[in-house]
Amino acid sequence: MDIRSFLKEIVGEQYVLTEDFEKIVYSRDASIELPVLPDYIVRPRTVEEIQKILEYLNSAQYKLPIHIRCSSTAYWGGGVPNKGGIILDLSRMNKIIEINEDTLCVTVEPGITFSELFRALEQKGYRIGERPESAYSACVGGHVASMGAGLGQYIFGNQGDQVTGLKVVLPDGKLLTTGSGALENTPKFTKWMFGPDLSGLFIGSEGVLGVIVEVTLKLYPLPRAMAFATFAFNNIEDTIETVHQIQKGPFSIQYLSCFEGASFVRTYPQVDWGSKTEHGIVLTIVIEGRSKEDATIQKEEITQEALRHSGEDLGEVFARDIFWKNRYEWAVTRTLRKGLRTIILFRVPTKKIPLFWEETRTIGEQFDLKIGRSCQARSRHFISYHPSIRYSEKNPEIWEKVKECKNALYLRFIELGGLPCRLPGQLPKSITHKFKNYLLFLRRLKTCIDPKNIFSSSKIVGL
Amino acid sequence: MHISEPEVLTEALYKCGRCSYCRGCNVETPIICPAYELTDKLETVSPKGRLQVARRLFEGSIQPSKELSEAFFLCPLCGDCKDKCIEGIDTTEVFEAIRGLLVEKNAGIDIHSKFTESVIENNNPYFEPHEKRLAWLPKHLKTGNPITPEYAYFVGCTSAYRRQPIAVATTEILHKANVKFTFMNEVCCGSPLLRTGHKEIATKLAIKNIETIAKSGVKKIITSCAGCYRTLKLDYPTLLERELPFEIIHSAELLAELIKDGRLELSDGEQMKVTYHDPCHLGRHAGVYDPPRDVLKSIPDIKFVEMSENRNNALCCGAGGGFRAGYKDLSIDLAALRVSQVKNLDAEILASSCPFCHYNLELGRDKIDKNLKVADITELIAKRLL
Repeated sequence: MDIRSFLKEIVGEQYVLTEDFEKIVYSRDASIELPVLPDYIVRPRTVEEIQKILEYLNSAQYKLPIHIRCSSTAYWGGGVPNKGGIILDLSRMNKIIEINEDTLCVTVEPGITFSELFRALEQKGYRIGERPESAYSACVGGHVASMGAGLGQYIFGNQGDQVTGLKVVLPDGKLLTTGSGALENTPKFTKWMFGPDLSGLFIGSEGVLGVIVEVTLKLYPLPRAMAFATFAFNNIEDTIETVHQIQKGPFSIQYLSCFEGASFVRTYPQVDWGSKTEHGIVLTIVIEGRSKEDATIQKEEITQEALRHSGEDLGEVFARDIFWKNRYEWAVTRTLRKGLRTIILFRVPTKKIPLFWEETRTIGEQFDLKIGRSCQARSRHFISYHPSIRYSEKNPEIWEKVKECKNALYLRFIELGGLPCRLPGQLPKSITHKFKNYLLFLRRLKTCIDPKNIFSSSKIVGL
Repeated sequence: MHISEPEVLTEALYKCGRCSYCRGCNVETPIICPAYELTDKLETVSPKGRLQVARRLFEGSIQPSKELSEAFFLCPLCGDCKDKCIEGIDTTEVFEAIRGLLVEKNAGIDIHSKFTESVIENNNPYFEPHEKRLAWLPKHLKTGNPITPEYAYFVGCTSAYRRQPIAVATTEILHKANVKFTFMNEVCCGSPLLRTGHKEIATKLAIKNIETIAKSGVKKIITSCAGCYRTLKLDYPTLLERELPFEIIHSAELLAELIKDGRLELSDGEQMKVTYHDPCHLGRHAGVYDPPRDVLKSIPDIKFVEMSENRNNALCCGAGGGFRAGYKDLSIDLAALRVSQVKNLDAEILASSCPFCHYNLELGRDKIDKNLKVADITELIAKRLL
């Protein structure tokens, strides 16, 4: 039986797509990367269907790489197949399997979007710890597989930290349960079992080691009280000094971002932006409290810190009525990032942010491109730095120039001691030799778990 | 410049950043793209997917096929994706333009071609004789005011041939409120043709209707159909590239005004809970949200309750955009999904203000909840006229 007939027999005829226009749709994500057409798109509904597909591919004579896809809303090319092969689209696997109010964990299929999950959890008074800014459309499985980070991370840790167990179909078709759920009668309440953290092997694995078919995440109560603050600073140095003091303090920060102020003034003319915003930096903070009083005290302390560093208090209107009210609509970024933009994500030690900020401007000038600069404190220990560059797909020259500029930023930021959250394809040896043993170990791991290289592997550097 | 102009269309097609907000769900709206939902989250029928294909199609790098056409026609053009688009792409206009392109290349949908033929032959898409367009009109309501009418009632094909009680109710109300109105020798407004890629024929219908209205001398057109309203009010000026010399008023708007002015007195009645379904063509497309709600709230003994998916977040009933004609089963599934959203409200009546929504919501209702009554707001008012 040929592969097409086999796939149709397993998942049903309508769930195997082979038309050119269908391949076009599944050839891209939200990134600047050029489209790459797959040979087949397969849309399984069950774990068993995925197991059968993998068993078949293991026994097949020819090599047809599998590329796993959920929502493909990311900005870095993770949803783009590297070379033909099969796209395994998990968006039909989108159910909540269990909300366990005893262990305070929720188990879901990978294709459920964060919004769908929030709707169900909020009705019961729960939330998960962390969510991406693209929660409207991003799927849980993809976020775990790419070790996503976003709102809530400052308090609860990243999505990987939320996982208490996974179910993964391995390259040979066998099903692995990680965490306490590996013991059949034990609930999935912790990812720590005997030996090393097996969930951790697949969190951030970008789908190169197995197919995550079930995710269990920790639940938390909805916040009791919130407080909101916005400040303007003349420069990034004062802003970051304030942020660093906040990181050192005992605060529960749901969200903290720094944006160039000019864009805010343009986008939200209804807000009183004071005297510093136009040429300065806007710091937006959302605080969680155990009570209204607790939230207010935290806010007052943070305000004192901001004022000590020459910050101008812009009140709570922007953070509360624009940002937080529209938090599921990507309120700030959706307006500031209007138009096609490519975004670079780096984790940077807080105190180094002014250096990265300045270096971004210099590289932008070299390429004659305006690079938008923003960052978020998603942890006490570092800052997520997100420069973004506008481009047009109608203009191939600009498109190419932006890609070159992006690569230059990557190389320079690594040189300066930043940690890229994502790395595109290949890196020059001058960089890879700096962590060659790490890469060697990753390669050994890949060979050990996926000896036939069934899962397309270009999404992780060195594999 | 209109979206059908190549440069405007190109601009729109290159704007999409593939963020997927057009096809997901948000905390207020469990379903944004009905087509995506009904096809088990098939990316090719999602607005984002269609925009990618449209771009290639428009560039000429792929050719139309039956399967490709399906991706574009399997959509009720409800406009929720336009409402949620970060980049402000007018997706409904883009998809209508691409449908036109597909029809030009003989890649349209058969059933749409058939009802287009009926419109050409009978002035309606239902294969009904044109001379019976006013056959629903009871003798006692025939008068109107032919000498100095202020308004003309544009009945629309669905009210004229398939949902006559709405036409009767609207006429009764107009009489009761002493509105000086007349009927005209109207033809199909062209909405089903515009939505399914037959713009040229729709333009001819627009010219014909405008000439008829001009001859009648009226300056205000009332319609009880959301589809006719959108077409006359928003599409005609675009098609003919000029302002219209008359005003278009939906029956919900007129009713709200008549009630506010004290020109309609309503009797007490059975106590009941009523909720409201926003027709896409009236709500998201034309921004008319409050008048129908004002009307319902003014009816004695009726308690108005809001569905959580309302106004710009309302789920489509599945009737419009050629969806019902092309994909009947899916269209009824969608109507049933919409009716299911009434479940937690304990409402006895699901009201709307469009005969086409009424038609489909009844079919959806029959699938899941036989006890729920579907009614047009004109019917609810007509029953309470003193």
